[in-house]
Amino acid sequence: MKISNKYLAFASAALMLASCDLDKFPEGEQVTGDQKEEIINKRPNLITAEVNAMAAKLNMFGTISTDLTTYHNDYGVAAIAQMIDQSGQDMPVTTSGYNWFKRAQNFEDRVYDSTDDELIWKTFYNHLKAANSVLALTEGTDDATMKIYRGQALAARAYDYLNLAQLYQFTYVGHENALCVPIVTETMTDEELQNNPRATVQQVYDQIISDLNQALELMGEDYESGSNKDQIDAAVVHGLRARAYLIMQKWNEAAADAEAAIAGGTPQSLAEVSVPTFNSASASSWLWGVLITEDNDVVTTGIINWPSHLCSLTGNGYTTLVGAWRSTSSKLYDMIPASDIRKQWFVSPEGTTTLVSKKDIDDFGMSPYTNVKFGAYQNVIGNPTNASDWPLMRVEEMYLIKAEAEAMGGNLAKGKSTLESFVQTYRDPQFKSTATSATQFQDEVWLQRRMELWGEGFGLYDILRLKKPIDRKDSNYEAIVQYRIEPESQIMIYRIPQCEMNTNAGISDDQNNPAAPQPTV
Amino acid sequence: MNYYMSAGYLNDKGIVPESGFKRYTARLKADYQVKPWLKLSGNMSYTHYDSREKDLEGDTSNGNAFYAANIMGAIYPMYIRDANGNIMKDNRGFTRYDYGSDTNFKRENVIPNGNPLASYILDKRNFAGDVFSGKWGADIDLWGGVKAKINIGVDNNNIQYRSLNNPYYGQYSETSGVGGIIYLTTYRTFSVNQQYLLTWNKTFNDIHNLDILAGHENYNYRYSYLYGKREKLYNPDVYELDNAILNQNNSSYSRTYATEGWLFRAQYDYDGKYFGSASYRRDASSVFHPDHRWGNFWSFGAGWLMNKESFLENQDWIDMLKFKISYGMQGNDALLYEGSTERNYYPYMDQYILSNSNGDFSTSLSYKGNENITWETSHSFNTGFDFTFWGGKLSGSAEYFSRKTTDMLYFKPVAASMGYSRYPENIGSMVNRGVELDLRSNLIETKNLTWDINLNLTHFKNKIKELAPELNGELIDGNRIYREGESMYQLYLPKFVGVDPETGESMWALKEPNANGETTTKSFTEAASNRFATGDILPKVYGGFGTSVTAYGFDFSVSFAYQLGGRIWDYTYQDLMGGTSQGEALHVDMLNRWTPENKNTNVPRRNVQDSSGTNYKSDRWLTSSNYLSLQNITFGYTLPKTLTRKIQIDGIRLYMVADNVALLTARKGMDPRQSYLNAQNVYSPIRTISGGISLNF
Repeated sequence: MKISNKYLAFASAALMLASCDLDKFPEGEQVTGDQKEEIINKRPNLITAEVNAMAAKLNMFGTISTDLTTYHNDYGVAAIAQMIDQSGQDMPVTTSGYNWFKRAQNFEDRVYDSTDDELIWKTFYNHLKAANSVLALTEGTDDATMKIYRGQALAARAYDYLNLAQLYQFTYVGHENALCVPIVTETMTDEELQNNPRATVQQVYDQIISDLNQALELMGEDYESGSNKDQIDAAVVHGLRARAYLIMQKWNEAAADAEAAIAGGTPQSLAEVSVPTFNSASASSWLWGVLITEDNDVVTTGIINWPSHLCSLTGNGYTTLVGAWRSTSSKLYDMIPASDIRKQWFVSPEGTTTLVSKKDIDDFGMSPYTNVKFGAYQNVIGNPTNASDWPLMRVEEMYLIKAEAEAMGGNLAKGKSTLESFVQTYRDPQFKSTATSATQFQDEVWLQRRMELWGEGFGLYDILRLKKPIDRKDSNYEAIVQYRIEPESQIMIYRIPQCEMNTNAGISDDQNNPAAPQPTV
Repeated sequence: MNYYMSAGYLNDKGIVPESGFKRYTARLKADYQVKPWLKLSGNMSYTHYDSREKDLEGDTSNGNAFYAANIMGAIYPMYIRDANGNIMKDNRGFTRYDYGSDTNFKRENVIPNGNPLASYILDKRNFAGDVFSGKWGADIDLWGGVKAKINIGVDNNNIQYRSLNNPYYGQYSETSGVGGIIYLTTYRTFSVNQQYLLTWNKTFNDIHNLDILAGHENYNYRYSYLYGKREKLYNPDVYELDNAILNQNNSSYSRTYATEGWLFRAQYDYDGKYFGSASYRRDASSVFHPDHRWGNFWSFGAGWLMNKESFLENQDWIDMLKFKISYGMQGNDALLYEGSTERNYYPYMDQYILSNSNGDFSTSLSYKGNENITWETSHSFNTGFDFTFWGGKLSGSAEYFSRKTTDMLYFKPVAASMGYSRYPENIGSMVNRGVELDLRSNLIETKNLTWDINLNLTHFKNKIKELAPELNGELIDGNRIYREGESMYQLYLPKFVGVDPETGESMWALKEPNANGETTTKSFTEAASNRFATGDILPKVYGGFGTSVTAYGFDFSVSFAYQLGGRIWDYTYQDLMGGTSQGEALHVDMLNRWTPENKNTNVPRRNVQDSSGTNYKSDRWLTSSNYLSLQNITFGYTLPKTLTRKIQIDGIRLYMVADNVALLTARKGMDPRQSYLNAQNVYSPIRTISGGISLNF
């Protein structure tokens, strides 16, 4: 009796208390692959969460930052836009102190171990992976909504390749057989991906056009995303294809696509751009944008977001707190006619602009040529919350593509008429085009692009596409970065980064873009 | 029934302004023999603590006082002064600190809008927590020497962290538009450990002693995190969220983890002379996929107390001599997130972050998992002697160890074009082999005078035995390189060969002569592609030594620590030898830079246009990591017992203790003790000198 009591006591205690459930899952912090599939089975409409992941990757904080090191330029595609603009000739920024993009300005980030290079590479390839995941999920579908998602994923992928191709190799025309970037599709296996050589420029552009053509077929010409401007719709696909054809110098196709894209929006009126704006996707001219809300990581960090590094009216940013203003080049400023509203997007040498009161300019301490183009969040001057949306494609750009493509395609008169009617209606009632040849007109349109799209990430792209030099001489650029770099100099483009070179067996060291010497004044 | 109770209170006002630590502790321990065959015991302790502090170390942000002290140029003032040089006060009576933005001493390029000292005073940070730890056990005598033992342990730790950034001055002040920020975080950890053991003890013929143990153990852990933040404070002294009104942000999540294991152990000794033991464990962890969850680990050991042998009986100089040898395996399942000190509890699953995309769900991939991940195993082989000779004139131990780790858990870098850049794998094996020596000697041991010295020394070498086959023997990860057959502590950097005497530019070596036959380059972009492995940077030997003396009631002891033969990358020196931000400090070695009058030097010329080239990463920054540290000096006097007993006190001792007294390193200001790889802006242990009286009743 006693013995069995003891055993019973021990055994029952052991059985009652021992519980070994070794299947553990995170609760809240992340969602695992298995949990996700379970939820999608229970709530199938949540496949949109995958689709929305694409937009989220463009607005990502933490692409290269880790727990131990935070990079304050790590906030998604808007940061890449800063690099593209500061590599050009129209955005002088301080060279010492708190300019997180100074290495783009002085070309020190053209080494393959630069973190800025890594940021560019990973931002686009991470977005590409999200797009490929949607393609894998919607494979062989016949459902109308799924087809739209498929189309959006293909267009998103084309957008990534378009950016990567322009940053890692010279422009299409004349460099069709040069090495570009590795192509990654949803059907490739892990082994193929680890041994993925650089495709040629021609192959990458072929992929871009094929993806965009397929996207349009799947989506249908009538698909509009309405107020959900972070979703790609037919107008955006036309816009992306117009950009691609413009680079490829397929003028007639570019003009046709630009015209189709124009149907998707209306340019902001003269009155609308006479105040600091370009901070909300609800504007009629935005075809596609990154929609940022106050709870997004980039906003809650306070200063790791695009208004902190670009908007001169924010209450919490590098621009206003430490004077890292983003200004226009004095040479560009002088070329803007006095009758053009876009001259007022920048503080004059006398310290005034019609967009912002003198008191505010003085309170903030803005120096001449500082931009006031981008308004603060919700147009509250000094707003410490930086949740403004970021423009990815505006209809104004489509007018400029249409004009250039029409003229270069042989119809100079039509191009001039498109340009004049656009500029006179929306920006400068006294504008007249004075070009007498297509190439002269192309330069006129280039000037219009530099004025209209300032700060939105087009600076270096246009310089490379038009094979122009980077000329900062005799401007308000700081003396040590007043370079004059000849057209198509090697230092203009980036080198494939270390994170790829060390791990992708398909690209050997001598297949990377060659190292180039630093420019000198 | 036996019981024990204790309680304690501590209130420590810190040295730094606005810091301090308060603690309450209590403990209750009891055991009760319920029946002749059943004994129950319990041991519970509870601690509540409350600490106020300003976080000093960590980043290169405006709040890190060590970073500020190194990098801020010495021309900038700490306080705002009036025309007569007196420190000003504002209309609330606060001292005016210079934040570098509101006077003519603007320093927009170095710690702008910040003053670490003012932050100490105006910002607040508080940790409060309750820690409860309980152990309960039951010992049951079953029959014939077999005993059962049940142990249950519960640990619960609830911490609340509050932080307030003041609304008066600095980056988040009212004038900047933010108006102060309050952060509140709670961390709750709860874990339960259960052990069910059976033991059997038997002695045969008075000489053979056998001890067998078998059991089952499991551990369950849950960690919960809750965070809240709001901006724009009303009352600048209240650290609660309801005191603020704007930009609310909150977050919460839990992490869970469990392990389970079966264990068996047998120990045998023959007459207290020969010892042997063997054990086996089978463990599972929730961290791995069910198909790869279990691991088997066994070990054995033997010991020989040689001084009990007959052939050593007549050697009086040998008081104790023991030989031991053992070999064992141990499993490790702790994989950290890349670039973090946080554990990844679910490495076999893909992980996605859920976020708001304009009012709709978005799940984006943040971590790619590997189903095949399994236990990392370390195989340890140890052998050595423990000895005491000449009555303590020489005693200590000497040991040889070899520890091989296989299936190392590692985040292997993959092609970033895949959309994620790392993948966890059991990637290879490496071995650490070395010797350890610990010597002690009682040189003098008399009634009134004793003197002893001690020395310990460790030497080990690390070698990577093999890497995953597809790596072809080499893995480059950032500035580190791992090669089969070589130490894992090896950097991969450009090789600095000096300064061109004609132009003052830095020169680095090329791996192969270029088209013009040159073997060096002056372009750092080219140097980035021409890197060399630096060789093993581990120290050759490290350890400590010391001595202590007691004489006529006085006692004195001193101890040192040392390290020799290694190299370390001095980040702070690299920063101070570059410095192109206005107002940044420079190292005095810059006075020796190249100029047309000073052509033969190793310091390149200053050129603000070539900021990266001046201090580009290279083996130039590898500095010897040798150090000698005076760890502790203690000096005391104990009053004679004959005096103190008269007042019913057993002993009174007056003492003075100094800790972290001095550090001698290859470069003044560098502290190589916190890492093998690099030294940067670390919070070195501070020198403290304290004194007191201790009473024994």
